[in-house]
Amino acid sequence: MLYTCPNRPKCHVSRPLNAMPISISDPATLVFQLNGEAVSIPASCSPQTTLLDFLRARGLTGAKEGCAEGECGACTVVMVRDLDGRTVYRPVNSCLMFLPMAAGQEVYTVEALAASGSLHPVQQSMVDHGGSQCGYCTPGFVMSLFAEHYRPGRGDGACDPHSMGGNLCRCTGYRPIRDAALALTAAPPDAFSRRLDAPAPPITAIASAHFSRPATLDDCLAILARDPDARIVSGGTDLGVESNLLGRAFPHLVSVEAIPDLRIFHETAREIEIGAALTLSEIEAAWKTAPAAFTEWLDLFASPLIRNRATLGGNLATASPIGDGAPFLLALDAAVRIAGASGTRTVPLHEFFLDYRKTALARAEILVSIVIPKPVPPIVFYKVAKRRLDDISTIAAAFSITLGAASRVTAARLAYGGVAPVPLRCIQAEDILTGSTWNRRAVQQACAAIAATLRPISDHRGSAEYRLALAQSLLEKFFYECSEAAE
Amino acid sequence: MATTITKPETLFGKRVRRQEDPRLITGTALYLDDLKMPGMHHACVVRSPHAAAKIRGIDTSAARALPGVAAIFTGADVTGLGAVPCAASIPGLRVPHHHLLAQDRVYYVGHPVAVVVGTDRYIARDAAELVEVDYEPTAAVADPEKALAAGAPAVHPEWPDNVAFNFHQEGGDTEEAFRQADVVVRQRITSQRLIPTSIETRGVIAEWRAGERSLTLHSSTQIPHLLRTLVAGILGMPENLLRVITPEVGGGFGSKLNVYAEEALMAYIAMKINKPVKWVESRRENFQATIHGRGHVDYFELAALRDGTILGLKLKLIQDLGAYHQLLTPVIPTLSVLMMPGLYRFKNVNADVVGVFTNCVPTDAYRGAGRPEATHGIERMVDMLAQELKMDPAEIRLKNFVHADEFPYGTATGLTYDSGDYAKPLHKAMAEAGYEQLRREQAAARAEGRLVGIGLSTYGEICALGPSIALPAGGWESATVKVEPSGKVTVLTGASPHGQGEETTFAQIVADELGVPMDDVLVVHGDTAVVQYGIGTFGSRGTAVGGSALYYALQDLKAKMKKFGAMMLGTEQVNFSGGYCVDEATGKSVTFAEMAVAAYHAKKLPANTEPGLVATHFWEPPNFTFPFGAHLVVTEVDRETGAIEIKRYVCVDDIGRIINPLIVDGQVHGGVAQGLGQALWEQAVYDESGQLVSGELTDYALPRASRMPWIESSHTETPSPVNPLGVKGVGEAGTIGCSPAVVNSVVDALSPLGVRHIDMPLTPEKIWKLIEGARA
Repeated sequence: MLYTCPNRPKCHVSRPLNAMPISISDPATLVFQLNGEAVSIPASCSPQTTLLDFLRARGLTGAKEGCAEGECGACTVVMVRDLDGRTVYRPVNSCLMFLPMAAGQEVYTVEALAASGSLHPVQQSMVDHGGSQCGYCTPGFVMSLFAEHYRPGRGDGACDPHSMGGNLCRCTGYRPIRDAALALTAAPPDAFSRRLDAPAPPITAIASAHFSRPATLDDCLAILARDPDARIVSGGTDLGVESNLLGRAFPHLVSVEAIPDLRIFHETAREIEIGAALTLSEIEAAWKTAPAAFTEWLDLFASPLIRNRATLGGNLATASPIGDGAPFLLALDAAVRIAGASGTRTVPLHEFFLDYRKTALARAEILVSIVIPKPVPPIVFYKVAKRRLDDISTIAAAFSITLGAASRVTAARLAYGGVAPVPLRCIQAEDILTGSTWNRRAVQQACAAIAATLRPISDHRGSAEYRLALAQSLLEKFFYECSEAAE
Repeated sequence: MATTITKPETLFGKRVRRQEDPRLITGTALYLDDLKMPGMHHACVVRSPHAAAKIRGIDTSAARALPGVAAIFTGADVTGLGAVPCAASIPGLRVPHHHLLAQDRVYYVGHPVAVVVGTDRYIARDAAELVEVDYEPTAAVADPEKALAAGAPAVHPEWPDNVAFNFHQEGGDTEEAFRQADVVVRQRITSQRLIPTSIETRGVIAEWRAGERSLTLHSSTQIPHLLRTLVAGILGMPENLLRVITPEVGGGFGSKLNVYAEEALMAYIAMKINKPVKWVESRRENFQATIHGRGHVDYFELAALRDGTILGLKLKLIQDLGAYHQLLTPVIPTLSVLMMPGLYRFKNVNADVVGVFTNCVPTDAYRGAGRPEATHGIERMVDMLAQELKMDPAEIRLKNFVHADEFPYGTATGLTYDSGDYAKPLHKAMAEAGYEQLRREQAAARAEGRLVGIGLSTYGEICALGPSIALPAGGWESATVKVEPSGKVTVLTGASPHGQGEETTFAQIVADELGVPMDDVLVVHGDTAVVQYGIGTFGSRGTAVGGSALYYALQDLKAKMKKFGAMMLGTEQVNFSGGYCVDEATGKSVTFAEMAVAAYHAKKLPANTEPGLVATHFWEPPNFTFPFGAHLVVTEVDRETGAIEIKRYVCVDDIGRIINPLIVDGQVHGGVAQGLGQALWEQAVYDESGQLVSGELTDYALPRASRMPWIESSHTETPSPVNPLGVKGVGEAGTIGCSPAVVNSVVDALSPLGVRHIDMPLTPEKIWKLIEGARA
């Protein structure tokens, strides 16, 4: 098994509904807009109650639990969010949203769509094309497609079927659902369209014993210093799974969604700084000069639903050995900025991962941002998994080679996930390439160094032998692709 | 009374939108977990984390102490109740007593050990964590071939050889066929364990009414009536005091064609605590404790003449049963044996099946149920024979097909194929794909060192299950048609659709037969207190058997309406057409609604005729139906990573007459997706110790939209003579036709490297190793 144990001896879900109420001092902060109506989050409920459970307890049966781990999308709802200055609908997995995360926000479920009595164009298109069979996954698909339908700047053409990439259907084979998306045209000028003309709700501060959403970095650091049980959370795509499937209790969740320092995107002549609490979707929207490989990397990283909640900071801080975020950033020579009581420090990413799921973050420290030096070198990203998109990688690799005169390598970065307890660069192979001529022989020598230094293990996602061979053959593949491109 | 009548266009064959969709698409349909009862309690099942262990003791004291816990049940509480039923009747079958909860041992990871009931589901789950079970782990075996080996751990100590049954079937003279053969090809072929994975998991609510001594069981099932009979038997309660209601069901694919321990347990618990109790399976439980599918290791031998004429087939089939028999577990491999001749004429078949216990969750019917395994085997073997004889795989198939003029055709396994023209879909698929051109392109690609493959499968299947003689629990279906006094029509069907769209298909049939608008027809199913006894929806039988029962009920109803029409028109002879009864002599007519009113007001009745307009028909099919088709797949393999790209997917399915192309397309596409899942990605992996390694959706690779190829689907239509609708069934066709076509294509791609066979799933690593092996 690879660093994770898919078969924990006990597998029961435990959400201590009554054990740890939110016990908030100011209940007004726990109100959110649900289908256009203000609803209150009961102060007696656990912060680990999911938005999905809350909706279903209110009799909203459209969103459904299919897996409780963000894989199937049957629980999809949309939130009104700001995306790079525009108000948009963002579909999210409500099974991975802790209920207090919705506070101050605006949520729509499938029930809002046909509230007028007639089907919404998105629903009508699904009906016209036979997009529903057993119907269990259908409301989730409808909500993902709804958000796509109203996407600003989409124009009058068809909706992008990839927008539903986070939704699983076992009945239809997806074809009629794809047809339903392709048949849609411009969104109607209805109340849903008009809503997007106004700003999205701000992310407000919450202060309570068991769920906090501080408004400043200092407040956050103070909470972390004060409460040794505090656990940082942003999108919840990881902790939500731990809560739902492992029954893990979090005595004090500290959301970083409202801290401006963690939500920056700054590009200067020297560097790009990405706030740790920006979602992957937000980074995609903000990083207009991103290398082409970045968009493909995002697709491979996670489904659209997950990308709307998952953050780069969260992906790095959990230090998954098979996370797809680290290799890409390692190859870009990224560093992370870390804040603590004594100030801010910058750590090169290749020194950030210490051991299996262990990072350089000390207690009461927080990851603030990721810094990518400029100029951003050309980079490619490879992922091998059973299904490639939105699947746990057998191996992930990111390569960046900078060539000087006479095809001499001036800088080489070879970064991998899935080949060791931590994501890493193969510095031995990089050293061989640096200064060499970028040719077949140098690549072969680099491969020999890879074979001599990497020590992957075997599990059900791939054998050690296969992983080690892939680590080399992906570099060869990269070389051939470069050569073909040069021709 | 109307004087001019235009016959409406028939709806048979029309792409009609589904009647079910408005409630599904708005999220207002009510599935099991959407139902709430006053005072409802929630159950959580404590399951074994071990594949094999003795239970030394269970301490429930900590769990009982948790506020809100109402009751806890362990094996000792249910020892006296009946067992989880198995409907198979194979001679000599060893049937372990399948208690509702484990007694002194557990036999697989996920085996139910205790049930905790609390006032909400969080309390039940928290309390389940507190149940301390003292296990003494014992040796386990998860692989069926290892289970057969000498010295293997015994799954059930009373049967140390782990053999549940041996089953032999033969037809013709296989020994003689093999003596005459010029060539024999042999291959071990596996069909891996699969997890059905309906997006809705299982769930049950039981509601006991003490005053009436009656129990209502809401369950997400494909077989409400059979469930009622069998749960009543387990509990020892009168069947007529048990009512089963099937809410909206979020997919089944065979996994809900069963009677599970939890269904009987919740019924029992509701009676014990005198409160409604709900249990909804988590996804992880669904993977561990709902039946799996497939699980075959097959040893094939195919004998042929040098000209490609197939003479005979031998098969040794090892079926991984898991630790227990669920409802149909041992039956599934016998269906494989029946299907072994495929579409081919050879008359000599010899099959030995051994059913093997393993420390895994039981296997049972999953989309195709026995037929995909057989089809995969025979279609792989035919390709291997073609490779051996250097023949084109299309040519060898055409040479061996049963001819179109030979139907009804009796097979070596005792079936009578109803109708067919097997060359037709193959020719059509080849024409649509541009087969000759594809072969030329393949040759060019190979010259460049690229790995391009073209794969065919020509499959047959057994559908419309089926004649009662061939099924454990009756193979008929029932329908009642009621014309209400207002002229609206209600259909009660014993079929229990759960995504197949039969509310629409059946309404089309009614609209055509009675001449009423489709929207006037309500199709009711899945409530044993409302619907007459029925069998259910599985085995591609809903429309072919259930729809036929409806057709005959409609004929009875029309006959009665004609009596009223004739009486009202004062004549002897009338025609019933387009919703009217017409006196052809005078041109006078009465409307459907007028006849309905007359039948219920009953001021005047035709001779020997009762009031009311209700007809019920139980239809026993005289035979199965046998759909067939051809799938053609073009693939390319990446030499560096072993990744497979599907470049073309062409399928031509002959499923008899088509009532609704929209629904048929959906069944074909969905079926192909599940076939692709088996061919390329899906596998239930148990490790040596019997742990389910692929225990979550992150590790069990379901097909996602981004990985689905563009499917070029079309049909030929050969009506079935078995039923009045001429339909054959489509639920499983795509799945059965798909996997061998994909594997044949990839093997074809790798054949220049000397590759002859690859077992599913075709993971990039497996392919990469073959490529590397050829390099070495």
